[in-house]
Amino acid sequence: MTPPPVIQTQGLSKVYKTVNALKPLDLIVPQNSIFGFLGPNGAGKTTTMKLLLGLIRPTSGSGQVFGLDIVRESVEIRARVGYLPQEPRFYEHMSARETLSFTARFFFKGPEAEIHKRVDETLDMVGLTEKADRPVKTFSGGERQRLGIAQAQVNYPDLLILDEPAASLDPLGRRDVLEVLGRLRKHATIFYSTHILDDVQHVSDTVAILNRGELAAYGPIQQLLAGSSGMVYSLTIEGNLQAAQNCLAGQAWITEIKDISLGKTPATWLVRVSDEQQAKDRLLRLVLENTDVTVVQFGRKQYELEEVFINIVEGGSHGG
Amino acid sequence: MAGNQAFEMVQSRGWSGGLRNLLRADFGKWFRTRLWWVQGLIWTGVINGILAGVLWSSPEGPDAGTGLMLYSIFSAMFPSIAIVIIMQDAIVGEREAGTAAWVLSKPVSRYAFVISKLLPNLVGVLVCMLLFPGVVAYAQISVAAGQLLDPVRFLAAMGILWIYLSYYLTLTLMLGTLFNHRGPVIGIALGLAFGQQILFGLAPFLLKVLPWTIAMPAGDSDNSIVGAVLRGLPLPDMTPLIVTSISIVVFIAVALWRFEKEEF
Repeated sequence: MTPPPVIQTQGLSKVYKTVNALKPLDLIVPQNSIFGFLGPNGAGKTTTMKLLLGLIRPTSGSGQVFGLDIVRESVEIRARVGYLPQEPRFYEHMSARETLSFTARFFFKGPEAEIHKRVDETLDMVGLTEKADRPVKTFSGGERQRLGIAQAQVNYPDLLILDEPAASLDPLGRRDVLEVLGRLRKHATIFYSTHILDDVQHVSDTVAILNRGELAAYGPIQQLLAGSSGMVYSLTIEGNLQAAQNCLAGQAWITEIKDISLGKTPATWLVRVSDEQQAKDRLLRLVLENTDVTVVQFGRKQYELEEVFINIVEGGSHGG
Repeated sequence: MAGNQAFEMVQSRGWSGGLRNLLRADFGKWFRTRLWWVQGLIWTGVINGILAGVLWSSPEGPDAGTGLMLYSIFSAMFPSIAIVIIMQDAIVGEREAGTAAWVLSKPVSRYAFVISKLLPNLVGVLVCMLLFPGVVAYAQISVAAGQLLDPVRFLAAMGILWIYLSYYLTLTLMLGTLFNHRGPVIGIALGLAFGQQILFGLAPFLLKVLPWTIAMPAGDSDNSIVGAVLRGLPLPDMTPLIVTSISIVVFIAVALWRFEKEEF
């Protein structure tokens, strides 16, 4: 039996005066998934996260986290959530240790020894043990980000909501964040936003792309990558290119042939097809019928998430 | 939650969610740092220093009656400025710093957040701006009088002064929930604190509604409510004290109601 989703929204929207920050959003985040939430600046990602946490109120629609209503039962939801805001802010006079202890005490009454132990563990997890007793006002941006990640998970949350968790981090820090996300998925659902698409592609199960407050694409990442822009095959050939093109152009199920090689040899074409079965059965055979054409590489086009993202955001097309 | 079986979990949610932890932190800002004794020294220095200067600079010698009147005025006027400055940061400062949003992303109710700004500051004001200088003033004026003052009347007067100062504390707290910037919060609160005498000239009924006459004489009267209590004189019209007390409750209610609707 499929466990219930951790996050579910029905037409959730937010309008600020005349600005449509989030158009009606229907979203489902499965349990124990790593859900990547993408979009250009101002797309509505942070707005969505704040709506789920009760920091702002929806203009219309509804949402549930753990089956609890995001408006009426917000305090109960937050008892099981760890949140990392974009540009985390803390009390500057507190040290990292004091900040984590303060955070932990919203969830744990005691025992004191266990709270101290948990604080030490999370400091160690983010590499801040040596700086634990320095006031936060002396921290760099990257150190604050690490502290933000630590305070988000100090309470063993069932759901982590992370707004740009890898921001301000160097490549090693980013790698550590991805490792932490991978480890945490056994115990928690992770809902995070980022601009670093490479990370999303490697870590996430499901992706949603917001654009101008609207859900532009949504689904398992492999489906998104494969299904974007229709069925496209990549063909790298050398030899008599004109003969190959003539052969393919006459086929009704081939809708477009695009040369992306920029004059280089061998040539690489993207062949868009309308009938996948025909493409599987006949595309390669047709090209190979020309004895003066050599096929170097052939296969279904695997899109990088960045290509999908740019196509959707700039082209306005929908994928997934 | 995985991994939390070793812990005793916080159970309180609803309106008091997070209150205990927030109170601990905000009381700690006053009493686990040097703030409490620094503030205590400052107000003792200011109030009692000026009082001593006035009492013992008079060629006729110290006059206890004058001392009591001046104690009432100084204990009201100077701390009310400090209270407005401290309290304008309580909500607006945390909103600007982003810490309010951070705290409210934890299992904390909006009511608990406001209460955590109210109670520790009320106690901090009581201890540092009233008790410390009050104890010293009691000694000073007793010496000036040549005998111990009535401690019950003195304590009652301090209680009424606390109501006076709480008015500005809760007013500023409420203004912090109504405005997004410090300017209007400070401007309105301090304007009201020191502009009341101008208002009385325009609308005399305000004498009964605003807190001025609780601690400071106004109009034809040479006595305030606190002054009368301290000197054992017949009490003047208590309406300002009653209205001020009601206003405090209204300010707190408005602050709680407004902050509940705030978005971060």
